[in-house]
Amino acid sequence: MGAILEVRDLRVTYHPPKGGSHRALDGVSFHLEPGEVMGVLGESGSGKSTLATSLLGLFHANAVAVSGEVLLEGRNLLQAKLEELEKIRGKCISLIFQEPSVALHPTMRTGRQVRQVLAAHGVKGGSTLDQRTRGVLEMLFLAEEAERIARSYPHQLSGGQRQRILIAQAIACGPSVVIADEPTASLDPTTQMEILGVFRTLRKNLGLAMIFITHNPALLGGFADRVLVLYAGRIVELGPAEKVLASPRHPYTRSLFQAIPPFLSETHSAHKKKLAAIPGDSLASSLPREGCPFEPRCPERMDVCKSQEPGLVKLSEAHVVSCFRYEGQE
Amino acid sequence: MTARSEKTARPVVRVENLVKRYSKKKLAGPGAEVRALDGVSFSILKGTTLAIVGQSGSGKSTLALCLACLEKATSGSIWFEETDITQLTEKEYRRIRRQIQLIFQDPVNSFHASWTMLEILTEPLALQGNVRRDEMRARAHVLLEQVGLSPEMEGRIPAELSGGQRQRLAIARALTLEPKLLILDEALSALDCSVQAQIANLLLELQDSLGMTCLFISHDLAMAAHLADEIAVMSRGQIVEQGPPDKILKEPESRVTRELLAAVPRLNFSRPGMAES
Repeated sequence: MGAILEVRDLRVTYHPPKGGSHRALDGVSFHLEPGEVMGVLGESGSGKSTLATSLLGLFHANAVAVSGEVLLEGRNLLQAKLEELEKIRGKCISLIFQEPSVALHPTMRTGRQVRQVLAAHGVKGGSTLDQRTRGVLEMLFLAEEAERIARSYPHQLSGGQRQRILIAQAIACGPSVVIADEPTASLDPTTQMEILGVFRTLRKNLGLAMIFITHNPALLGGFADRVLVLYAGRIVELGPAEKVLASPRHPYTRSLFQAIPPFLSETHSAHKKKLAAIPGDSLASSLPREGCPFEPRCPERMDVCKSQEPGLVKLSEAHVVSCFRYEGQE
Repeated sequence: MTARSEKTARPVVRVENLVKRYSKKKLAGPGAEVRALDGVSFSILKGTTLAIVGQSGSGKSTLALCLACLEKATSGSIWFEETDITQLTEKEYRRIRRQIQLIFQDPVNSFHASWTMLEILTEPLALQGNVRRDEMRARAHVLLEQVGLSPEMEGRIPAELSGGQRQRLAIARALTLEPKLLILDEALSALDCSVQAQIANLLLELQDSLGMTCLFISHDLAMAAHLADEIAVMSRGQIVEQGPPDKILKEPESRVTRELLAAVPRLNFSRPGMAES
């Protein structure tokens, strides 16, 4: 099957107001199959939000250098004109932001905000629009609830309900790819599970291809097909979810998983013991330097890591890792 | 572990039947009443951590604000050592407040944006008066080192710090006046996993070295279980279950606790590093 979305050597550099330059994405390449869920793991400063917006051709004003290709069904979005992009965004590929309270218009009823998305993409006629809006909302809310929610203002809804409205906007026009940037980060755990359930159902019912961005690896288990781990704007590991989550190979992925407090099985012995935190700070890694970006914090560093940057090593057909430890094992 | 067993059963805080009601005003008609806290009782022993977990809206943050003397409880009492702080006047509050420090989820909004780290750390001391400038600066440096920041960073402003560094700074500021109780209201929730681990380790270290008493408020049951000696589960303004972490995780009694447990995302595979070594 052909890829629905293909990213080739994507590079985005920002010029911070204070001067200097910051490479947010530094040569990222991957593809997404139709109906596939790609989990993107990354911490603050890893470039994950830049990746999310880049895929829609959205760039911050101080993004000075953008290169590479983002091919959506074969069309390069980075070369597309603004008018073309406006037709594609929200219709063929859409983005769900992290903070539903900020992403929604505070003084407009939520039903109308979903309706506007449809109207912007050429759905005409009042009754058709009403019908379509209702149809989308009923995918996300109980039928008897949908009417009341559509008439509500964002502040009258709970965090979970607001997040569902954002999802409604994103899927209203039947896109083939949906990108979700930390969609559950601001929710409490029960609501978080509920929203993950919504994503699962949508994927099953609509066959959406999805890029699900998070800093919490535990959210990806049983949901993502593949996992991409981002560090300092580079792919450090990419592979089938069960492989990456169960036996991570890159030292960064490993350290990240070990930093999470153990739950249930080992609670007793590990209680109040130190967690295996990764020393140092991810921001330091974004300074331009030679060698592997994770080298300063890496527990398994070798001499070569200081001076050279590792390429991607193929562990299996689908599993790649960017680390010298695996070189020669291809 | 010896430090903990030596502890006498002296509670630093004892909360009795605490009630906080807010009246929700409506444009017309009588206002509705919200019971944010509805008869909460617990105590925290010296040098231990009590975790309060619960969903949004369960009353966790109201509890934090009442304990920090930032909200006045409707009824009930909060015994802080020998004083019932719900009965204090505003002037008496000030003396108590320095002993109870609060750390919020988002430190960006709790710092003056254009103050340097040194100014942020010395302000609490300056407000107390009678401390010389060079003494204040020396104290700030000790605090910075205590929380794992370098004294050379004293001239930076909060915007120049990462999320984890800012939370370290918030902890340093809270420690300035040597508080007897540290309240952490979702203090780790906004941080990345690996930074959460760093800050959690720092809290454990500080508790060990300073014998700090903590109230850890969170919706993250896994982290709460890791850090706390005791967990209280809140729902609709009441504590529905309380006990040691092991008990709460393995034999949860209330429905709320079971729901929270079910919602903890898990890495459903063997933990890395274990299988391979």
